[in-house]
Amino acid sequence: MSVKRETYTKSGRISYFTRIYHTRPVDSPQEAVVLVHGLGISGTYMHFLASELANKYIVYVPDLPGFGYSSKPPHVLNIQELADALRDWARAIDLKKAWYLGNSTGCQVIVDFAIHNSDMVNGVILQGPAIDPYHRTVGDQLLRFVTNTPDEPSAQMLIMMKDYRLCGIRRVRKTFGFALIYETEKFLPKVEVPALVVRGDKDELVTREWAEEAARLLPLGSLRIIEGVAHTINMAMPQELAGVADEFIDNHVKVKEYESATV
Amino acid sequence: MSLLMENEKLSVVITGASSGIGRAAAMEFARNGHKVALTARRKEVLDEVAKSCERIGGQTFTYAMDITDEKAVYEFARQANHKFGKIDVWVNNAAVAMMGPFEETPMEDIKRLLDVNLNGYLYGARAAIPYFRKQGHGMLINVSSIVGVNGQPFSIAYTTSKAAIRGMSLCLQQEFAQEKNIHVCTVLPATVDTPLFNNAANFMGREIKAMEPVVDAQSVAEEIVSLVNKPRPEVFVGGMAIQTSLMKHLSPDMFAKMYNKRVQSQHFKEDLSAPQHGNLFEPNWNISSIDGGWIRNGESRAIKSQVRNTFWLGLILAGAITGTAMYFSNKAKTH
Repeated sequence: MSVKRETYTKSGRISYFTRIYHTRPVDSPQEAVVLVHGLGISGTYMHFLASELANKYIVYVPDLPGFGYSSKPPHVLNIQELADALRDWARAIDLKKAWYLGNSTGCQVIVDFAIHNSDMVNGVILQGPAIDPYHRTVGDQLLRFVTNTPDEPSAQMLIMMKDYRLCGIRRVRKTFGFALIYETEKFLPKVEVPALVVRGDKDELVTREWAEEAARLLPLGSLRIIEGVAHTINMAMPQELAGVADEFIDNHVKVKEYESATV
Repeated sequence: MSLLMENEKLSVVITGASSGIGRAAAMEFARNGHKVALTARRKEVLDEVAKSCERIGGQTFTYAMDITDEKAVYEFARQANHKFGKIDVWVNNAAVAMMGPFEETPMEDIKRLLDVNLNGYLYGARAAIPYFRKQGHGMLINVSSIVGVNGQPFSIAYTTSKAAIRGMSLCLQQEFAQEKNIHVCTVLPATVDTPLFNNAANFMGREIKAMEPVVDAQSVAEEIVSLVNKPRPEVFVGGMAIQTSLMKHLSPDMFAKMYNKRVQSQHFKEDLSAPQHGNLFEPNWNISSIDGGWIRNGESRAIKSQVRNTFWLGLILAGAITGTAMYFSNKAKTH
């Protein structure tokens, strides 16, 4: 059974809130997984996925600055600044290298982070990578957000409302604007680490064409579709997503072990 | 009409981008993905600003010059236009400050300050407007100050320049009144937490400090960026800006007396200071930050005092309205 620990870490002016899930002792050698939350929301909704993954890995769930329980910088950070914040956080908790899994806008942050700090990243798992370039307008995104909602678990709604309140509507709105102008498709080809795109087949916010294109644009990318689930797989089907993530990580770890053994 | 089509990247020129409001605005435009052409006197600092702007998403162009060099301003505009293919927004922002009693302020310094704060803006407007005409669209944003509306004692040159800038905006707004897509906007901030006060020329005999309540530069930057979505002829920034204007209109005499006392007691420290030219003639190589360190307890302080001030103002207004209503209802009864 995994243990959950909550901690605050300070880097510069920002105090980062982190949830740490693990089964084995923290200092024993094990792969680390970082779960990055999406737009406006905090890491709370990663709980079930983190608990699943913690059976095998040490799992970190930080709140990015401005969101959840981390401190709020005076200005609203854009995707690149959030990526730099993620780097600062990883340095502050002394996390040398890890696997990064993001949901929605968290994927954009991970992509930018992985491009600029490839030495800190083993690989990335992009679950529902925002923002679909084929539908990059405010109206289209809002409409898709609404039509996607009935397929999400109802607990998601409660968590979301609380997290939006913690974040503040102004910050949610402005971050949405920044997510909209961050052209993920232009940055994906620069990701040098192994990458997996995961899409729920009922996901309205990430269309099938876009998920396929994203996987194609990633130099070391592949795509997995999980059936019967919408945009927030980490909430709706944590076991399935954990299984997919575990398989991806495990394969790469084994390949690496084999390579180092043969050399 | 908004300048901004959805997802369009604007080409924005900002003068005085090495510190303070200019730097904050450059970052905020870059954060929104716009291209920024930056100018100031210090090349090294400009490159530093450009680097951080590029990291967060904006293309940049830098050109170091003194804003009083008219030819250089035009050359800067030409090169910025060449680099980005257009100039959508020109932010006139480069300014210096000076404080001291009128009689003790050297005429040389007054002339120099007007040259920077006023002529610099005129050169900027002259450089930008031909491109606006050619493109059929454009926005000139002049960063003035609330002292340009209400005045301020012991800052003759600064107040003159800021009032003149407002006048310049008014004139241009009326001149381009028939042009649907050419906008001229004036930003009128109250006291802002920038190195302006740290760098100010000073003939007062006492050290300068920022007069509270202080607004952070980020708020002004956000207001400037919001203008490209929603052009307005004049924007006030900071609760104090609106309040002082209101007080001045309600009772100009009382306001002048009150403001004289307030500036003397709250705009200066107790510490004595020798006459100095600040960054009027030479840039200050030591300061290149957005803030001047005038907001002590983080952002909460300014906001709190604004809320408090707004509360009192609201109470006074409510009292006045109730009083008037009672007066008239009594009058009606006696008849």
